[in-house]
Amino acid sequence: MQTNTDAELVARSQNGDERAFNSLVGRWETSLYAFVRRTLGDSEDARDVCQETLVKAHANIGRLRDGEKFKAWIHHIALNLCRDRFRSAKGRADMVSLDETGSEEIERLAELYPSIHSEQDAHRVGVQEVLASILAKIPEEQRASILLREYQGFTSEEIGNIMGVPAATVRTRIYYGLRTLRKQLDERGISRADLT
Amino acid sequence: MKQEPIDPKRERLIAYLYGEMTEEESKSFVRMLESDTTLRAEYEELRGAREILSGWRVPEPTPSFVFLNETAGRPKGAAWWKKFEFLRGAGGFGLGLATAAAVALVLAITGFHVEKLDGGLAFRFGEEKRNVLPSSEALDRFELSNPTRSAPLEFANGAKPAAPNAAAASSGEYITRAEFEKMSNEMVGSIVDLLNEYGNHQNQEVTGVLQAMYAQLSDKQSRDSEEIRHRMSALGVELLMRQAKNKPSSGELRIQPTSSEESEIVSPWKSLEWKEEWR
Repeated sequence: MQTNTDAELVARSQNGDERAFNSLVGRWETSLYAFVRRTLGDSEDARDVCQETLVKAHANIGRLRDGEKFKAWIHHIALNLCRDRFRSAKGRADMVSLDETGSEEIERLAELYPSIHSEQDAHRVGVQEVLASILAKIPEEQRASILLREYQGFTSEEIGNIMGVPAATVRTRIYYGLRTLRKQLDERGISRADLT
Repeated sequence: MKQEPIDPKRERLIAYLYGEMTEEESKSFVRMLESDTTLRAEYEELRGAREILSGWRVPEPTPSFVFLNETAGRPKGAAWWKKFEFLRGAGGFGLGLATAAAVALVLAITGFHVEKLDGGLAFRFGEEKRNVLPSSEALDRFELSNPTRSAPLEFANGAKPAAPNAAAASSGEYITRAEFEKMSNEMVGSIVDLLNEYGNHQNQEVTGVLQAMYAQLSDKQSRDSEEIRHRMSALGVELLMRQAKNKPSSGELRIQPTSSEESEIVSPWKSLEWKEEWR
């Protein structure tokens, strides 16, 4: 079965085809949610921002000239909404210490994550929280650059278009962001093995 | 905080790290890495950070953000909304399709389901484990008063336990797109079939409830069960239960029209005692 391109779906959406827009949503909602979720660190905020993003996209789909850039466009909208959240200091994740992954912490995490069955699972989830908290402390532009590059598959050029900066600036942000991240992880003794 | 731009060598390092180089550029950069120990150490450092990042998972499944409009939740190849005479015929409602999708979502999230029984309809909310039938004592205590109708309702006895509602039971804080579509189809199908059986009665109260639910849901494409819970409490369920004076002790109640011209829908008050797992 032939799959419609984003450009084709955008063109149909611009002509009022709601199913085409829903197809676009279905195609990119996972990527969008993952980006916003990692950026904000909170599932409810992430859902709100994703909904708002898609409502804005729906309302303004007629202004998107290059339909192939739909994915980048909705991530751009989402990024701006995330920035608004950060400005209101609502979306910042609290710092979590590895020391907190004791028995009480395991119980707390078990409530949050029903799939946790063991201390090892709790540790892994705890480490993920620590990772999230470290990233939350990294300057916003560095964090967004890393997330868009690492998980959303955008190139530095595309991220530059989303953020309105040259690709070289994006690479600078990624460089500093990754170095800070690595330093923080090393200080906490976290390695790849802690996340598997 | 303003960061100083990195030098071209490190910019190439990032480009190499993320595969943004041509083959020729990559070969050239590898040669540089082999001869520059500082650069190679930095490369290993950043590569290690990337490895750790690759293990970071979003802890919950992605909720579906498909819009609740006239296409959402529609079973493929079936103009099923045209069968929704119960809704279409009531006061120019005319929102059968969209409403059905919205209602199906609400009902699925809340664990609501309806089934046909020998003597009428059964409406259930919440966990399926509440398939224990209400005691006759509880039913006896549950009196209805309906000043607008000529006769009180009667409750059928001996209802069968409900079939497991796997879709609703599996719902946690989120529903995925697949779950939404599955539940929508199941719910809409059963609602359509059962309500059409009573279609001629055009129960205005139920229509009003569905209309209010849709109005509330459509202003925000929400999948937030908490929000829906409050909205349902404020709107639909209260209206549905308006005829109920007492609180039954069970999560199930069956109804039976007292004549071919009248029908009533009642839900147990206990259904408002929402379980945490629906949040």
